[in-house]
Amino acid sequence: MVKQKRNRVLVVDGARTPFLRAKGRGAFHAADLAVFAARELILRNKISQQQIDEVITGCVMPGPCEANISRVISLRLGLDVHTPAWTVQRNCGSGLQAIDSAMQAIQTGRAEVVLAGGTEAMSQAPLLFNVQMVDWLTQLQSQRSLLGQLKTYLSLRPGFFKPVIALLLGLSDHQVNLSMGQTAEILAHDFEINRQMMDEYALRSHQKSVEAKAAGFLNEIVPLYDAKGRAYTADDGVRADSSLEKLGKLQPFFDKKYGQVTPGNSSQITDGAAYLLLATPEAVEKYQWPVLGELVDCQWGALDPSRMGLGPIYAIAKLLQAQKLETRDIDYWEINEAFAAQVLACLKAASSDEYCRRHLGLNKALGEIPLDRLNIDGGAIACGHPVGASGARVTLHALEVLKRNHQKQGIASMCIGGGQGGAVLIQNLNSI
Amino acid sequence: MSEPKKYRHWQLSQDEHNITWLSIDVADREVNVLSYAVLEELSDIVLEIRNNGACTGVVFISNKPSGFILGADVKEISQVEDPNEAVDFMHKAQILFSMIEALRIPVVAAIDGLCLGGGLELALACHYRIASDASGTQLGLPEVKLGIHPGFGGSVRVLRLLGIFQGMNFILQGRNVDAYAAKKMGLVNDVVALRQLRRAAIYFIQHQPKKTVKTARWSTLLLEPPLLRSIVTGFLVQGLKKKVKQDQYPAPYAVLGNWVEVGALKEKAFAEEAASVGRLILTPTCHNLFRVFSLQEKLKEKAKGGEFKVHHIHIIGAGVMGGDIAAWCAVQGLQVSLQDPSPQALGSALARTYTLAQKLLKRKHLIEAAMDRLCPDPQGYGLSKADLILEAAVENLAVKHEIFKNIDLKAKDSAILATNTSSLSLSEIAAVLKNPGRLIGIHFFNPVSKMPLVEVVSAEKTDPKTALCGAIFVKQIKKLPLPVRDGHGFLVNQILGGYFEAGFKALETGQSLNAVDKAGRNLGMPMGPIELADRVGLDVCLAAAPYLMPASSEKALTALQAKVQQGELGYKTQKGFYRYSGEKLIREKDKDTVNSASLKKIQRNLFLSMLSRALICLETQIVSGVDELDAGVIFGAGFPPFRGGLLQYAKTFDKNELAKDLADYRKIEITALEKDSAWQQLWAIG
Repeated sequence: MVKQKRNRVLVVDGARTPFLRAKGRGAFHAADLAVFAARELILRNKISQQQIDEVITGCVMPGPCEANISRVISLRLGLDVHTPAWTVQRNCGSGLQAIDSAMQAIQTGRAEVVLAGGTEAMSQAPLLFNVQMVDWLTQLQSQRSLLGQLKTYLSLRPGFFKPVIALLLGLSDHQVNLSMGQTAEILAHDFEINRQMMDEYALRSHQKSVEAKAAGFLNEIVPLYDAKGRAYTADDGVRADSSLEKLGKLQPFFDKKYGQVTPGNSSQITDGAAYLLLATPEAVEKYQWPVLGELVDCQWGALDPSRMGLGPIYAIAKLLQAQKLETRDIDYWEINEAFAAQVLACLKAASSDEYCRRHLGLNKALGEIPLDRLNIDGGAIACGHPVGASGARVTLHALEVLKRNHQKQGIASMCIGGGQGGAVLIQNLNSI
Repeated sequence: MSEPKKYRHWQLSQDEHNITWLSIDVADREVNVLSYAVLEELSDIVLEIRNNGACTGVVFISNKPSGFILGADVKEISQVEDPNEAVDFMHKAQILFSMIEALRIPVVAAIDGLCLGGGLELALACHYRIASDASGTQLGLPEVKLGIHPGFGGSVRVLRLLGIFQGMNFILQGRNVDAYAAKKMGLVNDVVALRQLRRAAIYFIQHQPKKTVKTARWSTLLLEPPLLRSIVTGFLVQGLKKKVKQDQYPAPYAVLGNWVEVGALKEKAFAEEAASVGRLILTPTCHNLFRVFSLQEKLKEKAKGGEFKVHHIHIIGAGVMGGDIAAWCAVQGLQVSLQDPSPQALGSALARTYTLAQKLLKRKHLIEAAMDRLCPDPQGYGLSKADLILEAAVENLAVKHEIFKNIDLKAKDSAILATNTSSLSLSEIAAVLKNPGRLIGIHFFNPVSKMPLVEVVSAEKTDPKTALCGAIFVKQIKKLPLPVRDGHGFLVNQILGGYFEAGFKALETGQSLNAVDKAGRNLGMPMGPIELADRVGLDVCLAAAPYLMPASSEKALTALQAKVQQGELGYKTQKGFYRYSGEKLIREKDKDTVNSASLKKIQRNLFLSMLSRALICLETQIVSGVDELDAGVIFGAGFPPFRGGLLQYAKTFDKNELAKDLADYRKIEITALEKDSAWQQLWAIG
């Protein structure tokens, strides 16, 4: 295959909303969240309507009034009606897929400036009628006679009212009949990761998040305001008072009673949005925009769905191979924390000669991913995992970390329900 | 078929269903109004239609994008000198409208855009009314706002169509309703998308559904007996008295009077209606309200003479004023960035915007779009994107200087810079700018969504083009621009300062709160001076006292000072001169009743104090003329419209007597007053 010359993809700026833990139905729909995050980017970079060529948004479960949510967002942002917008769905990798799709559009010269990111309002996930209720309603509507209608009414049973929780269905893999948490239990079992290790990891995630906020390292957050005027300025799932003792008291949720994965060592169900503004170097120069960094390459891998949590390792291996890099060339890592067990399993797999030989076809281990270079400002266990948005959040935050620490290269990676992984290589172009 | 006759204001065409489409397009006017000439032509047309046996139906429709019909020709009516002439005109129109109503073929009014006054009366004479669902479609009978009531049979037909209670409400309030509200009331037969308006009209003609204006509502039928009419009217008058006084606003009382006299079903109700308008047209209220209407038009003219449009406004300060201005602008379709360091202030501004958008825009997608247009911007990124930057921060010169230095660095060269200051000097604020001519004042009044006036302030160095842009912007957001010159309190607050001053002075002389405020309300002001001070905030009044109430004695100010020191700041702290329970003012009864002579004295002094300020404003050319001044006090200070303005009211008094009182009040010689050029200007015109 002849390799064509590709355009470089620069990141001008990025912003995200605070991530809000789902406590009943939240104040914002997915499009609302996206508007808050992206509107700020447009305002502070003085972007005019026509400068954006395309809007790409990752979203797993848009609301019923948000078909092709990316277009909804684009119009609500007041962008030109002639600006195309489309939505991508790759489960937990949706936000990263949006960024990858934007990269491709720019690399191939089809677009100069793309607004890309992800949004999710998990708290808005609907309750559905169960099938008995649906059948009953259909029957009722088809009855023409009064008697027929009466008969149908009499056939109504209390069980018909039991709702189906769309969110839980979405967080399950129906091909292997496992919930996401159960796939994490499998990894814990495979890699001998115990409850203590998981809880310790979870505690560190909270602590690092608290420290990062105190140090002012979360500047990418743009406040949200609801219709009642309440301001939401920070991630609200982060617990400054978390402790091993408190975490230890939580019951396993997925493999009940005997399992080890608890809500405390899993990512939280959360609402949030994150966007990046991507552009060619020429556009950056033309519009005199700042540069946050460069997106070098994005790779995807896939594996057995019942071990979906190891997805990042498959993607990272491909990415390093493609770019002829070693793990030690990477200064900072962001691997989304779907589950503490899953992240820890990734680290073990990467440094295991045996695993990498057998499953990745390498002749030795991929290499160390040092804990002190991974998710240094905490992760989804603390701040939450709005599935469509997280891919954009980890990419944006990895760029911020590199810039802040004057380091060159980073990788941001996602595990993806259904057995996939994605990883993006980023570079800091500012002072190193 | 013979070639259709040509008319100047109407276009006739016949379609394949033999329906006659009567399109109104009044020549040489931007909007359709029913002038004498327009109705005269219509008269010929209706005769032509009546004699045309082939015609299956008639549709009234407008050819103008500006709307359906905005009413009778106000200018023409205001020039009528002999009331008999007016009555005669209305008779003719009534006969014409009855002829339309009596046509044997169905007649439909297809309404898109404004359908007001005489326009709605014409629509009411049609058998069916269909309205487009556009937000610009508004129906109403605003005649009472001009001191008259409908005169083309509208007040009779509305009662028949809507029933007594709903119909009376509709006429007495003179409020417009949108298409959906009109459908709910039964004022229109259907609401459709504009694209279906013509098809719907054809449908109504071909199917002729039962519900037409010819059948009256049960309440109208039931309440027709004279005894019932007078009982119901008694109740309605009670309600009306709480809102307006008969000697100040006679028109609504006349509507009730007509009904109690002749009912709504008999033919003579029409004659009574016309005669009643003839009587009203002679009243000073009517004269003055027509003046108010023309003052409003005059202020709109201030925005003519240039091209300027604001797409993005940046507002600094999300306090009461800044936040409410942002809300108003977002609802009016502008992109708004609102800068304030406090998330609470921004949140509160957004919440108020949401409430306002709900109230004004009603539909979910429009409310959402308004909210999306308003971007909270604590870092002030919008500064370099905005076409207009309005500063509404605290009234502190040093703070404003910092803000404007920063604005100067970041604003686009083409951006207009403005301040909402009400107490600081524009020139002093502008001093830090590279080009001080760039700054104007755009002074809004509280509550922003309710007050129609906005003062556009020019300082000595202000570029007149910039000031014009300010006026154009004010008109763009559907407010009335009043150009004023820089000077303490500009116009409106200067006048209100006079009102406060006289109010506090009366308190000082031992008058009770209730007496002082009652005198203010008797003058026709919406609130007495002390209630108003409570609303404005006593701390704000105290801070402004040195220049708004310079003549106030120590003693009056000590009372104010004491309140402020105790933290009793008025309505906002629920305690000031009065106590409040939420929105409600708790009025304590006086021990002694105030005699009417001393009430009159207070009222006279309130008026003299304001008049005195008005003359100073004229003298120092804060405003350019008598009309502008009157417009300012009516639309900005709440001066009663039925008096036609402060100066208009002054002229109703005997010149010499007024001169004596005013000289007394000011403690100057009459001869000094008579030399005053503003005094001369007052009496020179009209």
